[in-house]
Amino acid sequence: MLGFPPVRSPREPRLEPRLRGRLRALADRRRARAVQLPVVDSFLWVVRIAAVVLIAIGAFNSITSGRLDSQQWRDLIVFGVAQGSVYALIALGYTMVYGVLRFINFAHGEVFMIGAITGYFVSDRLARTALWDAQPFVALFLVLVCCMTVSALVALTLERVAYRPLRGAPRLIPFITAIGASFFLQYAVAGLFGVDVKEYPDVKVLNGTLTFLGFRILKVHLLVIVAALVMMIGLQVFVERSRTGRAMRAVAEDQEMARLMGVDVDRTIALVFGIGGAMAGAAGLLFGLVFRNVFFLTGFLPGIKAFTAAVLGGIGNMVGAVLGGLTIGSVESLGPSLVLSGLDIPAAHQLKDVVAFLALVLILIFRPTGILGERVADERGEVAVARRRSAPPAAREGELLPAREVDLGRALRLGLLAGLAAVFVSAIGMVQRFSEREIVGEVSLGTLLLVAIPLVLGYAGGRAPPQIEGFAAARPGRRNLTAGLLVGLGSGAVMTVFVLLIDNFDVRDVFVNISPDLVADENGPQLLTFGNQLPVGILVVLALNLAAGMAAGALHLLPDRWRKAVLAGAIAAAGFGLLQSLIHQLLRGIQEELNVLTAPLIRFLYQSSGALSWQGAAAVGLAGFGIYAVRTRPDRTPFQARLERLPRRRQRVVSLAILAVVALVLGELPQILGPFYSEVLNIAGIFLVMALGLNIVVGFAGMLDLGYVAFFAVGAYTTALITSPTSSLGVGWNFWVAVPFVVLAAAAAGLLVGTPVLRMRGDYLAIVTLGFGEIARLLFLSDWLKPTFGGAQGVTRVPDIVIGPIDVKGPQAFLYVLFALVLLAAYVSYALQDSRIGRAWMAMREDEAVAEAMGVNIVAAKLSAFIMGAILAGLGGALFATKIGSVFPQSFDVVVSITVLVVIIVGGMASVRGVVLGALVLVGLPELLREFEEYRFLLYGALLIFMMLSRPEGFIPSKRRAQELHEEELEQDAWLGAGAPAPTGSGS
Amino acid sequence: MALLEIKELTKDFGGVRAISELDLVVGEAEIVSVIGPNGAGKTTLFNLITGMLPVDRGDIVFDGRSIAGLRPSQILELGVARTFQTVRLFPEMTVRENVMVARHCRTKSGILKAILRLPSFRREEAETRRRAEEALAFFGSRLVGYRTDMPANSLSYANRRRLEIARAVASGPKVILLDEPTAGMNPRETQELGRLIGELRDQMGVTILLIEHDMPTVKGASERVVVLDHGQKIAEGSYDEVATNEQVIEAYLGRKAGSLR
Repeated sequence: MLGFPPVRSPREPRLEPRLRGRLRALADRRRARAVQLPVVDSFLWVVRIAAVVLIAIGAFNSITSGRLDSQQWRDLIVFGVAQGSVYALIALGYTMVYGVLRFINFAHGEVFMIGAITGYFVSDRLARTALWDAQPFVALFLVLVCCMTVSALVALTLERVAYRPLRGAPRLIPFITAIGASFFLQYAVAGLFGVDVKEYPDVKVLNGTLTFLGFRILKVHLLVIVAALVMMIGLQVFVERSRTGRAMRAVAEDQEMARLMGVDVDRTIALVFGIGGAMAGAAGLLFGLVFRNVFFLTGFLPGIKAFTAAVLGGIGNMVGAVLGGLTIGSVESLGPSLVLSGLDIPAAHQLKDVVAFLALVLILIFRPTGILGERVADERGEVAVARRRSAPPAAREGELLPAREVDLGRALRLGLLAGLAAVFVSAIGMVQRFSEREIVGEVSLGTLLLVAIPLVLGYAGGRAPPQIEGFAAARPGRRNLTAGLLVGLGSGAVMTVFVLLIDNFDVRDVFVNISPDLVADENGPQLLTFGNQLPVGILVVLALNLAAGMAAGALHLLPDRWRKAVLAGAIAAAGFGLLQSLIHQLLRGIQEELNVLTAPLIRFLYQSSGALSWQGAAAVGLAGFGIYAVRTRPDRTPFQARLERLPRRRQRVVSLAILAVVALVLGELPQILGPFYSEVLNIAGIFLVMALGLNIVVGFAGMLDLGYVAFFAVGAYTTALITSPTSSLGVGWNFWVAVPFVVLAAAAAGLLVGTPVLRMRGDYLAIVTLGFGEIARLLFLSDWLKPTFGGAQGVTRVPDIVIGPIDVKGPQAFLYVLFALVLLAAYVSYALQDSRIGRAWMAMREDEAVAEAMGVNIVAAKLSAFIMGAILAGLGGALFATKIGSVFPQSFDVVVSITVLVVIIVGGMASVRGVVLGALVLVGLPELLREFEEYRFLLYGALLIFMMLSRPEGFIPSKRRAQELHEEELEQDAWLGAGAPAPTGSGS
Repeated sequence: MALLEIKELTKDFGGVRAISELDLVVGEAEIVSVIGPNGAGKTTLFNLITGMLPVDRGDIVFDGRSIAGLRPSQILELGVARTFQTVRLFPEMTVRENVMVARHCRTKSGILKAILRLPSFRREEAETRRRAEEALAFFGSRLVGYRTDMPANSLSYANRRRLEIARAVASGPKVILLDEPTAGMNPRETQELGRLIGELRDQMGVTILLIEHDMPTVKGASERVVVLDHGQKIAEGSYDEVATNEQVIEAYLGRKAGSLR
């Protein structure tokens, strides 16, 4: 068992006059409880009783109605058990990892999905051989081994790359990383193997049924149940009996102590991930055999359900996970027919997933400890999200050693990484897709991407290893060049191998996106070799990679300020190239609207193809370089300081002037942008409103809400119901009448979601809110509530907003309304940040128990944060509804919540400026460039992982956090800049 | 007059009885030290008084009303503030904000007022700032000046302890519970803090309950000493009385070999 045994005291409790004492204790405890959270507790009791009553009534009705005969009931039970066995196998992975690391591996569902996909490919190939029909069980065993191996490898890689560096970081940092990994894996699989549904081949021996003790069992179900049982028993014996199993249990109890006792902790933890992964891989195959169809999103729902199973069984407890899996499987299979049909809910099977999510939510609310007691509510403020930088992990200790001339290992590792990245972007079709757009001259975005990879990693490789405790770096010199060169060499070599491989073998029926265009014969574009024939092409690949790596390494030879200026120039040029059509339109719009002649500038910067011309690129690059250099000149006084030096009167004049210019620009912007770009900005703007709202919940108050989209949906549906003449309400009122209802409905939803999660710890809160979000979407979609919400057809004919005589029609007019809401949301964020309630939120985020002890009513603070966030999202939803003119449940997928989360994490949590920029770049850019759209979630996932690993504070952190997080670095810079002599031991 | 009265207080953790039938009376403007070996239940006592742990049995009466079963925030509002054994600040909030949080229960303005920035909100905010700065100024120049706007985790260890006390003071308490305020301080700082504890009482008239391991500080600051062992009060009185008490010596040093029955 990996469970935490309760701490037993060495001292036995003293005996005392028993009965009276106990009664008194009971009475006292009752009183203590009752005053703690009276309203919340009674609310939860009402929910509890209602749930029990509804289940009882439903079950009674269904059983007495005789809608299903006893054979059908038995079938449902068998199906539930088979499905539950799959969940149980997945749940083992969650529970083992949790037992050892107290960490919810959110990406575990994807490990399972990869097992299922592997199973498809292997069995599909085997099905063409004679073995498949001759020796079906041998064949299946081979497939099983492959699935388990691949899934275990994926899990191991995940642990090594994404989780190990974060060990010991605040709980939510690895959790957010896992969310990122989950998205990354999903869309990586989609990119590599295609998005289509893959159908497992037929296994003849598994067709048909057996009858066993009066139960009719499909043979495939029997196989699943038996296989799962064998593996689970094997695992249990392994953990209980083997030496390695003992090591695992020791690590679960106390990592430090296990280390001291000679257990290799890293290896043991890796093993746990590996075994969990293997189990998930097996589950993937079994799932595939039962359901036949798998695709890249297959992992999401079973993942969540298996997690529910693990929690139900008491997370950390392996036997519990198995029991939990069986229970969830049965509940899901029986629940709709047994309970929901009995309650006269039509099309109950549609609500299968709602039942599972509801089970998750209810379990976490009422029995969070499962069978064994792992506490879910935690006193300490672990809720403090991704806020503290993790202590440097022990793995970096090597870097404390005096720097060698060139850190060979590191450079080669980065080179390998660069090569793999290049191979990956080629294999998912990114290069090919990107090469359709020319950026500078004839150079396409695809080419740029291939060159950019060794450039970026060469830059990272050329950088001196991080300096610790003021040990001075060796002076820049040959070593930076060499390191960059090595990175280039590594990536070039990997790419060469890849090019040779796909030139000689056709892998397209597995890797659907590796097209002949990549290396092609005579007539193809030969993207990877930059348009060259093969033997020469290889040389070109190598040369370009080497050159890029070296050039990037060489940048470090420049003094700091000039190096950054060069980067600024390069980024400016890249930006102008990437945003070619936007800038085009901006300049044209300026000419048309403001009568400033910009046509010559357009002709100078851009070619007729739309790409940046070479002279344009040079000019923009120079401008970027120059502006950066001027802005950072040492004797420059910042604008703020200069403004403050002016007399009061003048200050006010300058401020007013700035405000006037901003207002003017905002006023003209929609006209200058034109309808298409206004629309792009509208979408980004709506996400921005949501992000500002979520920032209150996550950034200020520190509660990770993954179901945030539900509030957005509530706002949109409320608006649609009230304003649309064809909705179920059919009143067709004005938008402005709907606004107060939107606010009320959103606030009520915030209260509804916020109340049950009051006592929950960060990662559990995240998963429960995720459950709430999905429940909301599934309910809006269901036939049951179709009379109200219109089911999949949604609510249409939502009218435009009308302001006095003006009808807000079209994206440009809408942009003005949106500006107003964004400004309002930003103002509210700023105002709250610096107020009594804002401080209470932040205090709660930092340390919940202490905040309470310092007089902050945590219940009120949590609920008010939830409500504020919900209202902002609701208003965003209201605008969304009028913009689209209709509301469909498909718009409120969980990916919306994740997108908003990515925006605030990448932008910089709790920083309003960061959130604004994050929304524009992360949401606006994919809308602007369709080629990004396809890879959007892949990029989001990668960004989440990257941010958590390297900059948990975000790109534009709130000022104070920037100060704190990089203070040491600044101090060091100052110290080094002052020309302090290098202490001994620096090596050169 | 008794400000804080603890009656037959009992607390169990699983099978361990952390506090056992404890009675304690603390008068107004008194300085009382609670000492005892590790695991004697001192911090548990503080957690019970401030509502951070639920009371199993017995009662805690503060200022004439029972506070057992109230939320920690309600207890603070009534006038019981505390510091923590391991410093627990709000690390990413500024020094000033840390102290301003403690004014939460003495102020009222909610979300709407904050958004509308009404004059009453501004007044209250200004008052909160003033009070916070006053509390910080108690430690002379240690926490004021450029440090006021630095994040709390940029402070030195001793200053963090001071900030925690300032935070408790800012809440306008009648009783302050100090949990090992001098832990980790050097002798000079310890001495200074001992003096400040006296000043705190003299200037503001607050009652102080002090957990402390540094005996000179206990001797210098406190008027009465209570000794806990295994959750029970084994002695009470002036420092000198307690220091010579057989049972106390036994609790700290173990039983003399000869006294074994």
